[in-house]
Amino acid sequence: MTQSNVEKVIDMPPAPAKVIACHVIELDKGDGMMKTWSYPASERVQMDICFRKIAKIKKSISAAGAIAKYYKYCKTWHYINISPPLLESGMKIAEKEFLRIDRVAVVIETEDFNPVRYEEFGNLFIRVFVAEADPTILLRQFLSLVVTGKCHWENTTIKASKFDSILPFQDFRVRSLITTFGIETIVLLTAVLRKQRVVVYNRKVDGLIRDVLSILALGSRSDNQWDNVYPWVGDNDDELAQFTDMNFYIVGCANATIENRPGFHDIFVNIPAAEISVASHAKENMMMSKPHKEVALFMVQLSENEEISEYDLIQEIRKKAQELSIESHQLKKRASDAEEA
Amino acid sequence: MEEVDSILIYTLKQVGCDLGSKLSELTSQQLMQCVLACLRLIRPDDLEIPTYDSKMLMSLRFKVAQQTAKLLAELGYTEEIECQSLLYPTESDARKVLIFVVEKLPRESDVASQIETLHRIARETTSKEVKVNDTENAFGKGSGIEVDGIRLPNAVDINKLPKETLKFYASHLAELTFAKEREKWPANRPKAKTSKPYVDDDFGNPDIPEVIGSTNDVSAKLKPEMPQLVIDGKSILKPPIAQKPNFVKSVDEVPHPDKEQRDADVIAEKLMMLQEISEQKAIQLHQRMAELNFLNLKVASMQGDVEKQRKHIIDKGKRVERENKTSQLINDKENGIEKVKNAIDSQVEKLINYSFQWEQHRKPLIDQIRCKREDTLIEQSGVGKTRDKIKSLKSVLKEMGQEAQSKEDVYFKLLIEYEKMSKELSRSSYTQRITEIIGNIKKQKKEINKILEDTKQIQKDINTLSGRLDRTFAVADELIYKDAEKDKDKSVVQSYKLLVAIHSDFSKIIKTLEEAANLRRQTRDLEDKLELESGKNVEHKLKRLRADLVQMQNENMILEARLRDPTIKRSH
Repeated sequence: MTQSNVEKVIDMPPAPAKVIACHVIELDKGDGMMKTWSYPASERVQMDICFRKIAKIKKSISAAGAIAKYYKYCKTWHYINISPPLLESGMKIAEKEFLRIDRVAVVIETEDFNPVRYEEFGNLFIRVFVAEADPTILLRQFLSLVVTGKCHWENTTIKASKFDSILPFQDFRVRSLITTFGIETIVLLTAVLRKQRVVVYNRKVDGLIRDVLSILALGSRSDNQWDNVYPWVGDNDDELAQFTDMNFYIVGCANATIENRPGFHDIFVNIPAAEISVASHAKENMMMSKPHKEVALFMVQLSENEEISEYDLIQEIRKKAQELSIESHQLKKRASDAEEA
Repeated sequence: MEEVDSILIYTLKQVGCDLGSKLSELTSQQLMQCVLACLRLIRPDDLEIPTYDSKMLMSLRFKVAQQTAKLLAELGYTEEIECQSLLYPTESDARKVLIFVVEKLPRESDVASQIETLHRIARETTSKEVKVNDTENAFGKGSGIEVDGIRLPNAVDINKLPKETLKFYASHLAELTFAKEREKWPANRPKAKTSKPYVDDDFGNPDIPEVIGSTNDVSAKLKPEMPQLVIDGKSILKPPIAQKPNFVKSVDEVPHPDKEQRDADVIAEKLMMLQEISEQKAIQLHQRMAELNFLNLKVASMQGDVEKQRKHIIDKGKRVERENKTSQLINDKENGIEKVKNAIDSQVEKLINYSFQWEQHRKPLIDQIRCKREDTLIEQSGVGKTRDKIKSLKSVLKEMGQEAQSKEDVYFKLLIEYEKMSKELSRSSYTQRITEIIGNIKKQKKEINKILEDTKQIQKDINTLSGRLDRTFAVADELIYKDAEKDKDKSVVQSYKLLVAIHSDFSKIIKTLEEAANLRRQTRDLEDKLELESGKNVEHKLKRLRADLVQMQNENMILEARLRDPTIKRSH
């Protein structure tokens, strides 16, 4: 099994950059934050959600360095880059411009999933914005990214195509999932295979994203299942409204209160408590048989082998799970044949 | 007067009344009918308006006339009016009544309802007359006018035409109608009865008679009037065209009673048929209307579709144009790419230009927002402070309230206690006594203080006196001693000795005095104690004890004696 093969199957294949919008949000030294610039436009709900995410990031991190986080809302990936306005000597702009500003956040909206790529662009945008204190120059950079797919500012040049061959996400932790849940991990796999509504709770956002994407990697068989993954969602009505018409999704949430919305999930995964609960209305859909148990045992055994890499682990599990699905298909066929007979 | 008359007559004819050209020729029957017709128009909703017929019983006629007179009075007729003024009118009376009624007629604004009412009235009168078939009642041209009445829209148009023209039209109308319907002649007078169901319909569904009016049925219905018009209206409404032979024949046939019977049958049959047909037509009409509505809706939706399609087409056209352009560009290869690049570049430049412009607005606005925000923050902090203050005040208030409550509780308790206590002892007397006692104590304290001061003073005096004594003694002692040493006189020595003796004696006396005072004090203390002890009644108690002891001793003796001598016990 070659690495490239794994890439294709496991992960969302790297897609060319499709940038939609860019926003600048300034965080005051107090509690306030304000969207000061947008191109081409921003919506109220979208910005509200964005503000909440930034507030959450701000709460959890006190370090002075740059932070990059991302989430998905209505099929659009939002990459948030937050950094303090690092004023270098020799900058043209007087410091008073950023006197009251604690941090600057740049939010890039895109259609493609590629956190690494947009972290780099986001950081560049912040630097441009802080150094020039002129959104027009930022706009020029943004348009250059849209039109030519690259940015050039002072001595730095970043090409969007640079990331086209790199996996957008590699930080899976299936092994940790299996050690946490043991043979119950099969429930997660089955839920994804059977397209149930899975909601994952974890306190820390980074861990949450890793867990959600790992669960997806366990069970997804086609690229388009990535359409249904929302690694970081807040427990708010306006944000959850996007799911009303969906009957399959994997949603990650850092608010424990999400469990109090019973109609929202079929399977609820509480990672800190190592609990998987299947909603009563989904129990019928989650019936499992002997082959499932075999797969579960196989997963546990495999994860105990420290020599196998995370990728190989995922790959092996997928292979085994494929057998499962084939078997179930056969069973279904037999059942339907029997009915017809 | 003639002009007034002609106007009156014209109006009344329009309303559908039949009357002659002169008011002086007006009969009571005509007058009554005119008045009633007008009343019906004035009060279309009034069902109490009676009908009048010359064939009615005389008493009934009187009654109707009475009612009519009453109605007129109700309407505001100021002149005196009674049944006789209607039934046996003088010319001036009739004129007055008619003028009044005509004035009260609804105005042009009510034309629609008027038309309908006219239709109805026209038919009613027509049918009545046909039924009656009495030339004596229906003055000739009257029926002709009624034909006009059916065709009211025309009549309304000719409102301002002179009477003669109107007559001319009327006669021509009759002629024309006749010419058209000649073939369908056979039905005669009784056919007019067919109008009755229409009259009924008229109330229920105003649409029907109009539609029917346009069909042959109504034309056929209209026809019976024609002969009458011709027969009766010979004097005035003479059709200018010579009467058709058929028509004349039929006219001739009318009076024959044999034929009448036959015709009646035929007409009854026809009537039934016509009724059925009219009903069918009505149903058909309804169906058609529904269909029409449906079709209208369909048309509307179709129009919407058309609009949509048009938009679609426009969109498509735009797309095609765009695609055309792109294809052109593609075909142009290098040039095309150049063009596209240029276009994009120009767009980017444009955008950046806009952005630059926007920036000039944006920055002050953002600063403004910041300032406002800070202001609100400050305000909020002020508000917060006041809120905290309010909170603290509230808590204080709560505490105070609790305190007040506890105090109130205590107060109530005390109140209850107080109520329990006997109320005979007045509080004031107690307090008075207490204050008295306190005053006494204060007085005593003052006296004690005085005494203390006195004693202190005396002590001081004593001290100073004893000091002086000591000093004087020392001086005297020294002086006498020196003298005694110098002189060695016996008297001096004697005096010295005496002095010493006096001194020592006096000091002894003082000592004894002090001791005596001490003793006296001790005795006083002891006396106090004694008094205290005696206050305890020790003596009395001792006496009682002694008596008890004696008794006990006696008892003991008796017991001892019993022990020694059991007989005593037995005897006892």
